[in-house]
Formats: sequence, structure tokens, C-alpha cells
Amino acid sequence: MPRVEVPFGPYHPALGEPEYFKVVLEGEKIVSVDFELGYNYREIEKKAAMFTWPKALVLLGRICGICSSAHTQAFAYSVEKINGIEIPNRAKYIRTIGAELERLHSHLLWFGLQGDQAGFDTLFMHAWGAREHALNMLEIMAGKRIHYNYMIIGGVHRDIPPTIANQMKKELIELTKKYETTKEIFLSNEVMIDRLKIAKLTTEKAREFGVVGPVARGSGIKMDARKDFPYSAYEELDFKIPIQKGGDAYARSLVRLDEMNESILMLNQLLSNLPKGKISKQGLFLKSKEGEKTTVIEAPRGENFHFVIAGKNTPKFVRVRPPTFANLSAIPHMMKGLSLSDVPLVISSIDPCFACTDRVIVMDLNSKTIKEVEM
Amino acid sequence: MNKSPWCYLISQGTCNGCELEVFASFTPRYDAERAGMKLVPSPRHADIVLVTGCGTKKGSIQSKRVLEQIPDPKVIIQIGACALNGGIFKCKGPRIEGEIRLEGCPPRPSEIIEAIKKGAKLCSSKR
Repeated sequence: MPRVEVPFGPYHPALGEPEYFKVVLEGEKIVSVDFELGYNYREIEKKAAMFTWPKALVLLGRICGICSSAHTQAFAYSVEKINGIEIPNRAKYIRTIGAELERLHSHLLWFGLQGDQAGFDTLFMHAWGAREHALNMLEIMAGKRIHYNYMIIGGVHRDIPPTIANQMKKELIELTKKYETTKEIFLSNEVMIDRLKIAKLTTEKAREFGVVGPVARGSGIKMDARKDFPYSAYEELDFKIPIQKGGDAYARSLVRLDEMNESILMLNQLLSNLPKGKISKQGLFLKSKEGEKTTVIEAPRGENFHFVIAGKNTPKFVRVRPPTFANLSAIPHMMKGLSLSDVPLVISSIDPCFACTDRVIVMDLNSKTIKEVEM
Repeated sequence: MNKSPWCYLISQGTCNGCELEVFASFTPRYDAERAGMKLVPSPRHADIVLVTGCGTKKGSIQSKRVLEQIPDPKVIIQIGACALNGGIFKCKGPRIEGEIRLEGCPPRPSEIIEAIKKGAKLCSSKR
């Protein structure tokens, strides 16, 4: 049978961001897949080296609008490790609240988009309706819906007084109600569940590709940076890591659903046990010691890795390895043998964030051409 | 067109923040669809173009090709600091210029809906 190349993107209604997938078909069956990124490449790592420390923190948050807190947190922890700053306990709790709220809104966003791409618009609207409560909580806490820069090096810059904590608890109750209805809508729809039993990734294959986050946990690998390398207030919290052994898109959905439940329970613990004390140890952080450190943070999509080399007034070098980069390599394997109509669902099942992933342009000196690759 | 503007979103390489707020303005809290607005998947159906992003090296070339496919009359709305002047990333790439400019990083959904309303009026006056 003749092979047909179908371009999927860079501007495709199923994808929120520009990215390009080349799908080779034999009849209806997918034979091979290739992807090309770099549409969102904004030279952030280079530009961070030209900014002072407080400005670099803001810039690093702008890597991604969805996991902005994960990137700022990882960068802030790296710099604090270099300078030997131990942040106050209250600041740790507030950082954890931000991170968990981010996980909630990111998972609800993905939940809706997956429904949308399967043609299940009711789920999309319900999930995004629930997400607004998480954004409300972030707005009450940090002053902004997206790009909530509540972090500074050495702590956080906005406190959560009891009145605001109470408001957030009220919003959390509303969110929990809406989350339950959304979950019921999803789990009671057999068509949707059957549609998601595709894109199988066995445990061995998942290890081979080195996938992280909910994709790895959906394939039965127990890994979570919150338990493996505890940071912020996760040591003092009581939570479970949901694991499914199915390995298909449905298993990944269940993992994310359970994670949302854990996040809600964690937020309840955090908001009622906020310790007393200062929220930050120092004023504006301008001068740093020289050194280098790495940090691993569990972002909503998996582990987020930051490597920082510090100069005196600016970072000398920043390297980010976002979770989507690890997960993306499994996509060609997952798509093989499926039909073209499954492509959006498979892509959305790893919850990709291409704004995080576009990091590097490589120049080939021998042929003098610019090759743009993702790293 | 004054009553029911159809919008199409082009991102020229962004952090996702503005796209999220555009999508959020069509979901239950803000619900722009009750005012007749609709987000369409095809550029050929659009009256109003929502442009986000700072204009990256690859993104700016492709987004221009998409813009050429949108039929006239159309109104272009630049959303967010990046689409206006490159924003915090200071991207130099050629950006799509628009009639309506919306500041913010990212602007709130209510502001986006207001801008689309303004765009709809402008678009019907162009016919």
C-alpha cells in the first residue's frame, strides 16, 4: 500500500500551541511519527544570564503559563542552596500551597482538553468551570490568575492572613464539589473510557524511554519527586502517590484524577496548619555567592529539573529540563498502529507543554546550516 | 458580523498564558458564547484574529502564512505584552500588527471579551 505523509500542525485546532508532527500513514494505520519543535523557542536560558537575580526569577516563571510556579520554585531553591539560605517554615507552606493549586488547575485544564479532543464538550466545560475556582484561589493568594509571581529568593513576598485562608477554604469546598461532578461525568461515560484505551506503554518500555510524572505512574513506575527528594513542606504532609498499572491513556487519566483528589486533601491540611512566623528572611536579593546546584521539583507534568551556575550579580548559566521533554520521546512508540483520528488523543494523553520544552537551537558547523532541535 | 464575531487564535510562540486566558473567556465563568462570540478551528471562517506571542524565529514565519489565509474584512487584536512589543522575552522577530491593542501579561478574560466586542464593531464598519 502506498505511504502518505500527513502534516499535523504547526497550527492545528487540536493543539493549543504551535508544534509540528509528521505522521506517515499506510491506509488508515500510522506507520511512523516524527516531530519538530522550536516554534516557542524564546532564548530564555541565554536571557536569564543578562538579568539580575530578582528579574531572572520573574523571567524563569514566564517559561510556561501553566507551570509557572514549578519553574520559579526550582530556580529559587537552586539559588538558595548555593547561598545556604534556609527559608522560614511559613514560606515553605505557602510555596506548597501555590504548587498544589497549580497542580489542580493544570490537571483540570488537561482533563477538559482531553474531553474536547475526544469530542466530549460537556466534560470540557465542566472541568474548566471547576478550574476557575483554583484560579480564584491563586488570585486571592497571589494577586494574579496566571503568572502568579508570589516567590522571591529567600521566601515568598505575600502572606496568607487568616481571613484570606478562610476565603480560600470556601473556594476549595466549591472546587471539591465541582471536581466530584466532573469525575462522575467522566467515569460514567463508557464511550469516553473505551475511546481512551489506546496508546499502551508497558512498564519496561516506560523505563526504556525514561518517562516521568503521571505517564510513568500510569505505567506502574513509582516515582514522585515529592516523596523521593522531599522539598518545601511535603515531608510534613500526609499524602499518597496514585499508581495505575494499565499503561494506556485511561490509566494516565485515572492517575491524574487521583492526584487531584490528593491535592485537595493536601490543601486542606496546609490551609488549616499554617505555621506562624516570618515569610521571608531577607530583603531584595542582589548579590550571590558563586557556585552551582541542581534542583528537582515535581511539576504537574512530572519532574522538573533546574541546573544553575551562579555569578555574582546574575546567573551565569541556567539549564532547564522540563517534564514534557522526557515524555515526548514515547509518543512515536505509542502512536504506531493506531489510526489518524487517535493522534490528538495520544498527544493530549501525555499532557504536553511545548512552551516548556523548546530550549535549544543547534548549529551544524560542517554544513553551515541551522538545525533546530528540542532539548 | 456585529452580532456574532467568529474568532481565530494565532500564537506566534508564547508561554501559553495568553492562550489560556483566551480559552478561559469561552468557558463557563466568562462564557463569551452567550454574546455570540465563537472560537473557530479554521482560519478561513474567521472575522476576528486574536494574535498572541512574541514572534519567535520559526513561529513568526508560520503565523504569517496562517494570517494570509484569513479572508477580508478582518480585524486583528494583539493580546498581551509579548504581541505588542516582544514583552519580557524581547523577541525581535516580525510580529503581526493589529488594529486593537490589549496590554497585560496576560490580560484578563473580561478584557479580552471587551476587545472582541470592539473588534466586531470595527469589522462591520469595514464591510
